[in-house]
Amino acid sequence: MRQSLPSGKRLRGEPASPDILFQAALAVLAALSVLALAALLLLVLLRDSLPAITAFGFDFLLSTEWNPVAGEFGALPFIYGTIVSSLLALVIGVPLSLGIAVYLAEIAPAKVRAVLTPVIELLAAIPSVIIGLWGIFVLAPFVREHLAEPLMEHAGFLPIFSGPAYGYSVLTASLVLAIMIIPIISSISREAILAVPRLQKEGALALGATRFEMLMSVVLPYARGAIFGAVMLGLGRAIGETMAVTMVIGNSPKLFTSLLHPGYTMAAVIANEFTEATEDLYLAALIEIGLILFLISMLVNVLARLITRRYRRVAGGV
Amino acid sequence: MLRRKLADRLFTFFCIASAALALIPLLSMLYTIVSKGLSVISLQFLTQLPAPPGEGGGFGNAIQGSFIVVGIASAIGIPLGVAAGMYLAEFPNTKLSRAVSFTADVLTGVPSIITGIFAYAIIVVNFGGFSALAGGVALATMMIPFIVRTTEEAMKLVPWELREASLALGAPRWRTTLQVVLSTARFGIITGTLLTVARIAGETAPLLFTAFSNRFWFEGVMQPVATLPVMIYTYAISPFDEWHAQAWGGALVLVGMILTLNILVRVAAGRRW
Amino acid sequence: MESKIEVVGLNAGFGSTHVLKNISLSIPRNRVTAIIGPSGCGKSTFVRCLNRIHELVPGAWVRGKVLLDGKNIYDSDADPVEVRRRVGMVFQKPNPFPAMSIFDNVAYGPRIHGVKDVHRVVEESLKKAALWEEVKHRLSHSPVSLSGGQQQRLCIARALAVKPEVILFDEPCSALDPVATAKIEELVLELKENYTIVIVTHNMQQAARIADYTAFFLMGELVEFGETAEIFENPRDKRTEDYITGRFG
Ligand SMILES: Nc1ncnc2c1ncn2[C@@H]1O[C@H](COP(=O)(O)OP(=O)(O)O)[C@@H](O)[C@H]1O
Ligand SMILES: [Mg+2]
Repeated sequence: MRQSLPSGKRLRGEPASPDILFQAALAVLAALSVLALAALLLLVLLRDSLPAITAFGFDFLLSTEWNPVAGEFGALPFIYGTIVSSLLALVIGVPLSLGIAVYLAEIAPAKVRAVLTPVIELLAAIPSVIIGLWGIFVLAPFVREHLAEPLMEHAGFLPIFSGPAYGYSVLTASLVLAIMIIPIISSISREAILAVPRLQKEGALALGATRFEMLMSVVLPYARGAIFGAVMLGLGRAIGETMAVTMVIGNSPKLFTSLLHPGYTMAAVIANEFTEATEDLYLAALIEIGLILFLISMLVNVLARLITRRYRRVAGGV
Repeated sequence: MLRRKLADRLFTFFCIASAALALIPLLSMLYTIVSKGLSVISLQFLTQLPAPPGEGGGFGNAIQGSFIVVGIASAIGIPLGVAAGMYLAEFPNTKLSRAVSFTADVLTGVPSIITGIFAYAIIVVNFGGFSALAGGVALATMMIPFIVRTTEEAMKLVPWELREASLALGAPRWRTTLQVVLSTARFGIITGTLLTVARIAGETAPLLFTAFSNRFWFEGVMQPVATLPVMIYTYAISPFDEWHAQAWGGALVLVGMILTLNILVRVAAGRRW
Repeated sequence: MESKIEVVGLNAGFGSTHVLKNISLSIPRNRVTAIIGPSGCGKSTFVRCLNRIHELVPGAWVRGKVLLDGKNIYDSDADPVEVRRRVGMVFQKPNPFPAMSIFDNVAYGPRIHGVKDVHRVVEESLKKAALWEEVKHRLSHSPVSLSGGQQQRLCIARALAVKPEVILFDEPCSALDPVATAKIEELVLELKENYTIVIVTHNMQQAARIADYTAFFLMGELVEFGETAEIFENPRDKRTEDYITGRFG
């Protein structure tokens, strides 16, 4: 356990020295730059959304009307849009991420692995406004023609695929989000799989298990905590993502049923309307949406952190 | 047996297909950015002010503004983050450090748009409107938790024995931390810091209503300022084809800078450690 | 024999682990004193109590007295930083500062203590550590490129540069090959002219070769202390004899 310098008071008999001052100064800076920052963030959001909270109360969360001109502010379409698009992103992104993780950890030849691992992580370095730009001009037209229209034609009887088919839609937004969370989820999962002791894997294979069976019986029980944490981190990222979603989701504050229709998210409405909100109540309503977004993503992140901390030994850290 | 083999084959195929599928958007993005961006980029594009549609113009002020806003964010965020990370690495067994560590972890997940609201409420409202400073504060808020983490991790990699060696020479702890631990960890800290800078340089949402935008060159820290990400966004959602083309030019510049920084840092890091 | 360090009723441990039990012994000036004993018996803890490094480990505690020239280093008015300057230490694994040049490694201590003529002190220390000839043309290089034995001698030079009176060696050769080990042993013998030396070793031949006095520790207790020849040829305690003849440990 020799890893840490002890706290100053433990140094028996040491006079008040520059060391004590040093520790105190660092402590103050750490408290200011992290704890005070977090507290201030929350306080500012609370204070500035107070007018909306007092004006609308709990109804704000349940009302579907968003009509700033008429002074009607309901957050449900945005909360709904955020949740649906993020969950759909998980539905698309998680299986792919796990496939990639297994491929990179177990299947790929060393050379392919050495190239592909950083390349997929490169995807995480591309700014979301650029992904949004690509979403507008490449992905959205592609989705409309090659995904949404066929889905509508062949599966349109399902409410979630009913027409008309738009390019700027919840489906497109979820695809964009899936692309953005794949690097996070796949890299943490890959590390978790790699952390499973070689002996255990070889033990299963020696008993005649196929690779698939070995992964299911040995690796999955070992790595599932870390993988679950990674999925939560991805979810947190998807919920908070702003630009890429704003640029492709169509920005329509309705409770959609068809994924081929436009929607709206909490982050997107703030990005779009904040500078237009000249009235105090309008601004407060937007900031309250920010508060809700903050609380939801903090909750998801705290859960993710608790899970990954718990399994850090397995996951090899985040 | 046949069924088991088949399941294994199918699974293997699925994994390979996943990896291939993930590459498609990346390649498509890079290809589109390069092909559409190259035709726009010229000396004029890089050095001129924006102009109305049909009159050419460039992203010069946005490039300048991005450097300024990222510079302000770094000036605020790096010292604070490094100090906090240093505290976590050197005094990990205190209550404060456990609280700071957990909070920093959680803060890495704050949606970027929220840091914009924060800087708006703190700076824009109180100091006379949109400004480069407000943009810098928003980005600094984003970067601090990452700098804290990266500093902490790099300093914790320094073996305890080096600290003991220094203390055994009669060095006080503050010197041990600043001269021995920090200098040994500096490469890791610099690497992580550069990656964080690269990451925030592409942020748009925190700047929309803090740094806002400006059609002119930088006019001062307390004035609104154009930045590359915001300019790309504005041009992308505009109705003009010429502006769309210029958005791709801006994208190439931004992605070029960010990826170059990323690749350089990773190559250097790979070589060194 | 005049003693440099007088240890009186020393107890030490980590949290609820009681490692050192009531150790009393006097370490003679300008002599080499070896500490031997099986692994885990508290040898390192003991020497780390002599320069107040032990207490830096979280949870560590110390009771008892360690008199350096008659003055207790654990007195409330004693300055641990000054104690550590006077009692230098060389560790088991060579640990030069990797981010500093060879020169800066040695200069680090003198600079901290405000020495004026750093260049002269560095040269002197490297000469005393028998390293000067090997590194004088690459003082600005990183110590990482040095061999293990050279690194350990650099650590010795680094310790010498703050002009200590006592040098503690905690198994300084356990990571080195026989040739490098011989060099360090030779160096220790030279250094005893001017310094009081305490060396932890679990190599009995080494103790026999270089130590004037030897202390045998077992499970945190001092079993026997005396002139090396006595301890090896004529141990008074059965347990010492068993250990020396290789019956356990
Ligand atoms: N940091 C520590 N925390 C708790 N126990 C420790 C620590 N370091 C050493 N010990 C224990 O103290 C005892 C003595 O250790 P040490 O002095 O290193 O022995 P030696 O150097 O003789 O091998 C051992 O039983 C060891 O397990
Ligand atoms: Mg030891």
